[in-house]
Amino acid sequence: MTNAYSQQLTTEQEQQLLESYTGLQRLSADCRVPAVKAAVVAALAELRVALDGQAVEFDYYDAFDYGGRAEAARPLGACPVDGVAA
Amino acid sequence: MEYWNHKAETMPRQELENWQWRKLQRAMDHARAHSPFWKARLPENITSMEDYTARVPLLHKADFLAAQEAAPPYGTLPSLDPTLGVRHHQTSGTSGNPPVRTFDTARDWSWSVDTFCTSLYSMGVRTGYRGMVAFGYGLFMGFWGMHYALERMGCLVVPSGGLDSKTRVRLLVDYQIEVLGLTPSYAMRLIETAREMGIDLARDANVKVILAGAEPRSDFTTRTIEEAFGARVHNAAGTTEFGAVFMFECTERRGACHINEPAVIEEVLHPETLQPVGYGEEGVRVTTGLGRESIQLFRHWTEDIVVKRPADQCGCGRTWDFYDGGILRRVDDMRKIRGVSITPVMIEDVVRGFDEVSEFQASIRTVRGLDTIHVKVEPKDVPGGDLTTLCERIRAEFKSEIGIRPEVELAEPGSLPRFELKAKRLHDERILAAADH
Repeated sequence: MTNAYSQQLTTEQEQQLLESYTGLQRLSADCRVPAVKAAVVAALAELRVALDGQAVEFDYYDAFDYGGRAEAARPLGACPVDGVAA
Repeated sequence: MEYWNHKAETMPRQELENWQWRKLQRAMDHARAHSPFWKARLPENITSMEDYTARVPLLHKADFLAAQEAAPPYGTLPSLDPTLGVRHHQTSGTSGNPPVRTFDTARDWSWSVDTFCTSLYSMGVRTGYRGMVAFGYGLFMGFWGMHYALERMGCLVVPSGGLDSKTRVRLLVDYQIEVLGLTPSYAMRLIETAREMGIDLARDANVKVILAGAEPRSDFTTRTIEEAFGARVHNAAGTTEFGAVFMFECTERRGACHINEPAVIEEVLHPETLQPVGYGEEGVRVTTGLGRESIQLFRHWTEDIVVKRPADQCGCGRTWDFYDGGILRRVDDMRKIRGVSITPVMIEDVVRGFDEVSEFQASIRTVRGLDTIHVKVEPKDVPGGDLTTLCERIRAEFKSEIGIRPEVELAEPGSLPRFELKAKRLHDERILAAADH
């Protein structure tokens, strides 16, 4: 089913958007080719905005699409204050 | 009517508010889990929006700066490690405070740019337009997002960072730029420069949409810019703390600056009682961000005075409430002179009413124990203008409009400062004098 003339996504299109996002998340987690990884991370950032803009429920603050840097997402207490871990 | 995002922009109010509440809950969860500052400030088990506004304290600039200075550069505020950032921005710090410093992840930046796209699309910008952003492309966040938004929308962007005003005027004409982003002050500068170059921007250039933001402006300034460029001027605003555009003026109702409500929750509170004010009443804007993951914002007391009106008072079809006239002034902009309240925009409104004035500076001084306004105006020759009576006419207009008769003096052409960002044309010398003692 197409929706070429509507300004709104169909349910199918919304599902395609979500599947694209989750598919790229998997690729981002597994891929070790810097050029591909960078492209995937950029694409994920863009798709995340599109999903959010359609009010789709998903894990908006997930930490898995930083191209291998997710481990840098700071656990609480790791912030140095005056040189000492808080 | 066309929208950048039809679903979000026309969502029924109740659905929109439910969506905001869900977004707020997950934003708070993220903040509590990762930000030492917010962990200490956000209570657990907040059950509703009412509960949220009752239990979460207001965040003042001093709180933000103190948290930042606890562990520079970003302090205890971030909800993500700064090594995940891809951009750094900061304010100028010209107020004497340390600058506000923030960083954005790639995801934050996509979100921020999207808020600019929403704004530009509502102003009529479409794929294929040619655009120019006339600002310095420095540390200040300013119009960076507009550059990227134009790219995302499929427009051709001519970068003009580091260029002088003459070169920018030339680019406007040579490339027939259709959308222009800049501050109102700098628009006035470009008009003056074009005139000196013998260029009539309304005739020789092709600007259709002007996004003039980052400063309050008077109605006279808006009209002057529109007449000189032959283009509609639209208002928009964002902040470094928030990291995106929170309001923009649509094409349907003059001055209706819609709040991008999926990106932000905006309360309006009485400046003294701190209680919510109703639609149509002046109050201070308090911001909660719903999109940024790096540095989050909950109940930020902005000091911006606004008047909120319901969405249905604008005919554009958006369900997003709007600030009538945008940011009217800052809480700390108001000055009392002999019992009369005066703001920079009120002065600008009077002075810009005179075609013979190209630039001005005003100061408040105490002369023989009496507070007075002193205005320096830089004159220019215009057909029918009369410089010999200019000072007296400005004095009379001030008396009529504001109730105070100022001292007015002519300045040498080119002697007063021009601004690209954050113009400052009113100086309270009483404060400086008090500090000297």
